Amino acid sequence: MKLLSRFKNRNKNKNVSSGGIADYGKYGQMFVAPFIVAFLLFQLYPIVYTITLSFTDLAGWETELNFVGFKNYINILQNEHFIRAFKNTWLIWTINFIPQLGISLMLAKWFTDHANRLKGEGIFKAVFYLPNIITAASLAILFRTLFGYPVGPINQLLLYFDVIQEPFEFFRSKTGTRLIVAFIQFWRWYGSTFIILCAGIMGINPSLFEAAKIDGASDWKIFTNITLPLLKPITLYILITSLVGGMQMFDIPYLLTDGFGAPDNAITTSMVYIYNQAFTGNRNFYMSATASVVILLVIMAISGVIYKVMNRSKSKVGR
Amino acid sequence: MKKVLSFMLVFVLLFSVVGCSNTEPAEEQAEENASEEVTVKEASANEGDTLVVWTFTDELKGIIENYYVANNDLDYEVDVVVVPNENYQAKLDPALGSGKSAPDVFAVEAGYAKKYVDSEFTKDLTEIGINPDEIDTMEYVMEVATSPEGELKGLSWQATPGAYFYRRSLAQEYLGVSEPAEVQALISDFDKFYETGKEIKEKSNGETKIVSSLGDFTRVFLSAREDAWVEEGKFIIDPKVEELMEIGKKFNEDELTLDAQQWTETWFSGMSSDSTFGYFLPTWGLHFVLKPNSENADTGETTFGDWGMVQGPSPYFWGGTWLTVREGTEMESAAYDLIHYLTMNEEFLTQYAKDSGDLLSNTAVVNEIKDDFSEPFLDGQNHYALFAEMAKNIDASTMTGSDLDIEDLFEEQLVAYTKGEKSKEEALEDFRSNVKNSFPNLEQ
Amino acid sequence: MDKKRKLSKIPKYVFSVFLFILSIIPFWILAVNATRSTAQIQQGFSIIPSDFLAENFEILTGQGFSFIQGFSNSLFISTAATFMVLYFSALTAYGLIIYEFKGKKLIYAVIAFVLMIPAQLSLIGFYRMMLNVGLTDSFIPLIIPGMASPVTVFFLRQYLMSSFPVELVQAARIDGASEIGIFHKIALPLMKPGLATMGIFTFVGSWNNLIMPLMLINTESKYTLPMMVQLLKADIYQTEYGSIYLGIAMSILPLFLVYLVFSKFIIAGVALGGVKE
Repeated sequence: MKLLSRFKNRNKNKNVSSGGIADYGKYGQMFVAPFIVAFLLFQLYPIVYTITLSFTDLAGWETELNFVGFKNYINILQNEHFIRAFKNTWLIWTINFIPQLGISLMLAKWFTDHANRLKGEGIFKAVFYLPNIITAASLAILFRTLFGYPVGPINQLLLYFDVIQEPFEFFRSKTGTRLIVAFIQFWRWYGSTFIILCAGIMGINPSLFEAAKIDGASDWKIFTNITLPLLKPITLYILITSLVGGMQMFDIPYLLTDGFGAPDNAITTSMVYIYNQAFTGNRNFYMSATASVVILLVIMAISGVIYKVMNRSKSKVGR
Repeated sequence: MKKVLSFMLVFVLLFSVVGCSNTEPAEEQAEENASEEVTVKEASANEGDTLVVWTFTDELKGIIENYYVANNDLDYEVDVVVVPNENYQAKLDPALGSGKSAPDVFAVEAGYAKKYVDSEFTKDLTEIGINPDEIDTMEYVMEVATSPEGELKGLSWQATPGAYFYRRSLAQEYLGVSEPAEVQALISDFDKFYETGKEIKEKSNGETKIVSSLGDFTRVFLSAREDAWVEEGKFIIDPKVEELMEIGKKFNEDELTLDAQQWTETWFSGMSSDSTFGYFLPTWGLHFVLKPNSENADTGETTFGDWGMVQGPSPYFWGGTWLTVREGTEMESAAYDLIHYLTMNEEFLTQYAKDSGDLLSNTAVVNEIKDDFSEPFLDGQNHYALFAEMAKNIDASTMTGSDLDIEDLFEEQLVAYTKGEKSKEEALEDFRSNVKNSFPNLEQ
Repeated sequence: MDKKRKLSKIPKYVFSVFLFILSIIPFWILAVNATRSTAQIQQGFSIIPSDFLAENFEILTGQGFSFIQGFSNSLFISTAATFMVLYFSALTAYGLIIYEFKGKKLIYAVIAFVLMIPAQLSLIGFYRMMLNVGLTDSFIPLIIPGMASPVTVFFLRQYLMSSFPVELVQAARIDGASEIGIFHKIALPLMKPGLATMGIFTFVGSWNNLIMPLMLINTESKYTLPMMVQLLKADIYQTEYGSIYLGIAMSILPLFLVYLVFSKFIIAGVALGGVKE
């Protein structure tokens, strides 16, 4: 009897994730199957299609694929328009993301702090997230009006408080326009980052916090030694999705000014470049495809690095 | 530019076109056709029960539903799909390319009409029964819709010449004259326009400027070009473009404008206040841009009745819609019915002109009605007759299918140069570079 | 010690309130503009409401667009899509965490890979594909692909990793529960905050999605709400800004409500400890 139950339970105390019984493994495959099927059906074709396109010179109404080898890749890495777009994307994303992560983390701590939390968590959460709801098109119109020249509200405000003597044409200033885009991105996404971080913190076993407090640890120590490390998986998620999203930044830079990154291509991001290649001018699909693949490779590389760095010290939670 | 385009598609204002010169093209065309022995085929019967029409604004939809469907007994449905102009080509192109989910009839606007006319996706209208001998449309309208091989691929019901609208009272105060003929004399070319601009600014102590935005000039200069943007695969910058840049810079430096961009609050506000002397607007601009904004929304003050209309320093045209038939459609007969009705049916055209005020491109009808108009907004001036006259001077030979895209790219460089952000060489070089980026196939 | 704590809270509140106001302002402006006439909007800016609400509403509904139709279309699509995304992503994430099987590493790689693919990249290809299989003018391409949402799977997997006690599964198995039963009865409920979080994002994303429906749908009766608002810009006479703002405001309203409902789940502060120690 003992032998039998010992045999039956031989895997009971093992970490299930690293050595399941074959039977259960099948379930894993079943659970994951719908995803795989849908992916193959709906995403694989477009992706393969795009990658194939990057090896051709397909444009406009052409239907025949004319293969040109790696020519496009060689060209694009020297293409000043693409390189500029790439740099712009990084620049704007960085200006947006660093404050965003910092502030959201800070807010998350304030509102979920077991000992010292701020009140009104519900309302603040609700409102912080709101900006995410508005469509980019509406935001673009709003901000265009706000920063209008010569009589936009911001200009009027600055003039009133004597910050400037003459109205400033924000949308003719490269830096100004970039900052506006970065700000809009920050404003749209800090709420959701905040919520995700809160959800992450709330998922941490409260007994850990209690134990630490009993041991006399300070707020800050608790935050740095318990909260942050345990938040790593969630932070990883935020970093990568924000990066991916950032590289894909399109709607605001596209809609805010003339669709071509005015002034002077200051806010032409990679996506704006890709979109315009595909949908304006000669409809150079092959350029769009090539640029997309290049960006994809970059994202993969960076994500790989982030992943490795964050997983160097795996944390075991509640297991 | 985008907004400009969405307005471009708003067609209104009927003005009659007069003049024998307009019957001549029809005759010439008939002769040409005779000599080329164009055969007019009968449209094949419909193999379906719905005629699908795509367009980029509400306007055509309204016309079709309120006139075509309402006044005709049809044994098929007409389904009009409106796709906003900024997404129009993106949605249309793949549909045309694959032939799936594609319209039977689709509208195209001036900025990209040629692209479709010159393509294999539009049908030669003579193949569905349109008889060129019966067409009485203005020459430039026909030219635009004629492919390089001489096939007539589209037709339109309207013409869109442009004018300069000015404030009579301000003219009287600062220039001492207010009648159109007199004002026109003062601005009959750009040098005079510039001088008049300076005078207005001085006399008004800078309160009034002759134009609100440099954008007003763009179409005027572009219409005056000799060379198109693209000719035989080569990208060309006509001297008029550089002239536009220089004049723009001059006006900016001498502060003869309100430094506004078109379609912004500041630009609109000049229509109901004394800050702007005049606006360059085409046929549809009068009813849909100027009139609605002539009343100050907050104070209720209005400039109604204080406007006059003249040609201005140079004739130009702005916009226009053409109807085309997709090659491969199964609704040929219905397509023929629709296009014939909208562009050649005199009863409809007359009624529509009277209802909407849109300037038609059908010379017979225009001649018929043009004298009946008197516009109170313009203090009784007959804008229709005047526009009809202006339409005669329209030269659309420099239109290409890439106009919209190229001009979108040019706008930024124009602004940058005229504001002193770049030198002319830089601006032109950046322009070329951007065009090369969009059109790698064009020779520079 | 307490006083210091209380004092330190003040700047925190101030900052939070500042962000609060910042986040609300655009909505305020939107609402105000919805009450102003187009001419007013074009001629100037204001934070004080006007009295053209009724007029704008008439213009909006008088366009021949059935707002109710657009609303119900959007509601249907977004709800269905959200369900697809949440359910199948949870299923997949759970499967990846709990089980060990052949090809698991490969699937991780695939998910991570697909995650990084820019949406615009698939846009052209996806559209062409739908064109070829004749699925244009249908809601299907807007809903079914939600079964494969790498972003959601990724999040839920990370979420499960920080919060799901695997012992529960073993305990349930001993009690004789089926695998799928465990998923439905134990895992899903415990994932509520995570699901609610992703649910909101998915719903909002689907609701506000303009490009895909615009490319795919041709029949007016199938237009989504954002499409209809966009079409207001194609107005024959002039861009009726007043009614556009009203249309935007009205299309945001449902999102507000959905958000309020979902946020209860998040704010509930469910401690995911699950297993009491």
